[in-house]
Amino acid sequence: MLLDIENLSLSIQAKGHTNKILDSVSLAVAAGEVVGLVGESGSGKSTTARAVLRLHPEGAQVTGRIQVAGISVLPGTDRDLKRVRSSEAAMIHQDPRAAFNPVRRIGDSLTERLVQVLRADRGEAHAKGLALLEAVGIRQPDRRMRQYPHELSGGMLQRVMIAAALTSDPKLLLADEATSALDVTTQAEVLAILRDLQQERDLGVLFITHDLHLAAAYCDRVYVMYRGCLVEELAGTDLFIAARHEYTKKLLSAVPTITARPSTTEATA
Amino acid sequence: MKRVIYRLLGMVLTLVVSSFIIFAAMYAAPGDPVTFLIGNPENITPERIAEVRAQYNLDQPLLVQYWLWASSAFTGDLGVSFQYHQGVGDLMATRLPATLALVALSSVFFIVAGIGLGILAALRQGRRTDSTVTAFTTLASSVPSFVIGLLLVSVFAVGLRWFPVSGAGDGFLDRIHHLILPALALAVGAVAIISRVTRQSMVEQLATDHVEAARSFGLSASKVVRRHVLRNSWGPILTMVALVVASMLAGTVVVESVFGISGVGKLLVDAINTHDFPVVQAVLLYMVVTYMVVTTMVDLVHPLLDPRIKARNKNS
Repeated sequence: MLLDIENLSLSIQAKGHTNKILDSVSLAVAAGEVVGLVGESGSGKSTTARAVLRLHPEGAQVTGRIQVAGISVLPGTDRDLKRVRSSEAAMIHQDPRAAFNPVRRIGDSLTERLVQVLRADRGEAHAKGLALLEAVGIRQPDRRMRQYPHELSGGMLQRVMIAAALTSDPKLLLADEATSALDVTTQAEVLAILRDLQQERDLGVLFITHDLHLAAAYCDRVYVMYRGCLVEELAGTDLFIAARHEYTKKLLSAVPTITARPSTTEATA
Repeated sequence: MKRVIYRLLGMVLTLVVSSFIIFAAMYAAPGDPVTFLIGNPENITPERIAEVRAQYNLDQPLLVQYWLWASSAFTGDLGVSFQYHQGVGDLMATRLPATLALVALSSVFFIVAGIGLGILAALRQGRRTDSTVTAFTTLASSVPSFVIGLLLVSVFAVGLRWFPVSGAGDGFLDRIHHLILPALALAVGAVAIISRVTRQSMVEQLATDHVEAARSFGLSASKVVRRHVLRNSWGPILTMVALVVASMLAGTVVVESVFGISGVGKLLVDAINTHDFPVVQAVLLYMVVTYMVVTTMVDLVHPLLDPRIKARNKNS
């Protein structure tokens, strides 16, 4: 398995209380597989993804086992962690505007991992950055490299972030609400690009979203998360038809639809 | 371009208003400079008074006097000192090097210590080191600089004899040797301000997404601090450093008196005590100008640190 999480529990001590954020979460993502993680806000989706790169808050108590491409992150040495962070996995953050350093040029942020962490040659890193910007459909990549984040649109920045995630050729992408901050049209474009690159490079993707339609359409498998527990695992295509767990059904019934239901129209009329 | 013109106009306006206030304040000050100018009380006769008043234009209306003073000051002629009978410009020129050297050395001290302690506190946020730094710098800044000066003199100059007791020294190394204690006394209060601003600015940056993003791709902790946290904190730190330096240039009076350094601050105090108006006016004008120069320089450097400021300026 590319990503293997076993019995991951995470709790935070606050004022004498122990807040259990994650409770025995076990999930797996294979190479070439897009796995969805859905659930309401605060259910622990992001915390799970961040724990893969050991980005959980200071003072959190974490137990369980996490492996990425056979390298143990939890428990793991700092060296292994650095290897996973720099080369094996990459995170695509929710808010592209916040995830780029506002005072650095796009090119600098794009190649930072290659140059500063993997000690690649600057010229080579630059060339690779340009190629990846083209791969995510950005025109005039040379000019974009010299610009600052505030000079680019949100959709463009999110594509740059995907390019930045791919600079070190990782095998696993952690997409944390990667398209939630974008408008619908841009969202579709970015998702299409992500899909193309995923298939081209045979990437494993842990796709976190609260959009159930998107999860059903986009993911091979979907995990449903509720209060820090995984309550159900379904094939993406089965999400809307075969859900068995009470919470999943509730979640599905809460999805707003464009076709008005007769009962609600009557009630409001 | 438009911004530059507005900027320059603003500076001219500030100069005009502040110089007028300075001049009018002298005019309103108690005590008649005429008595001082004549000197010997036995010489004070109505004829002599009228003569002196005419000689120094003291018989003209305030606005005329201001115009005469301001127009010659504009051409670099700041008048003649009542006390020393020497050009005020020359007088300032002999006093400035000591003050500038004192402020420069003091700035090195408070910038290094302030930013260093600020970084330390930010990285140990909420732990014992953090609160120790805060407590220590607050305590140090609440002690007046002349007390610290006297303390330093009694320990390091009188007791240990490592440094001279007073004076500004001649030549580069001797000057630094003389100015270390006064510069320290001047720097202590500023360390608290700079360390606090550094800490706060860095703590804000530490919580941002781009810092976590940098961590998430394996950037080492020291590079995260240098390339992201500290790099993005320079704006507020630079502003504060500049304001402190500017106020130091105008606030060396006490330390210069304690350490017997004949700088601009000492010149001002002596001039006030002897009603030497041209000198007082010139020193106050120098303070206004240095403040303006320092703050303008900060404004020019800011867009280089944060490209978003340039964009904002363009739009407005």
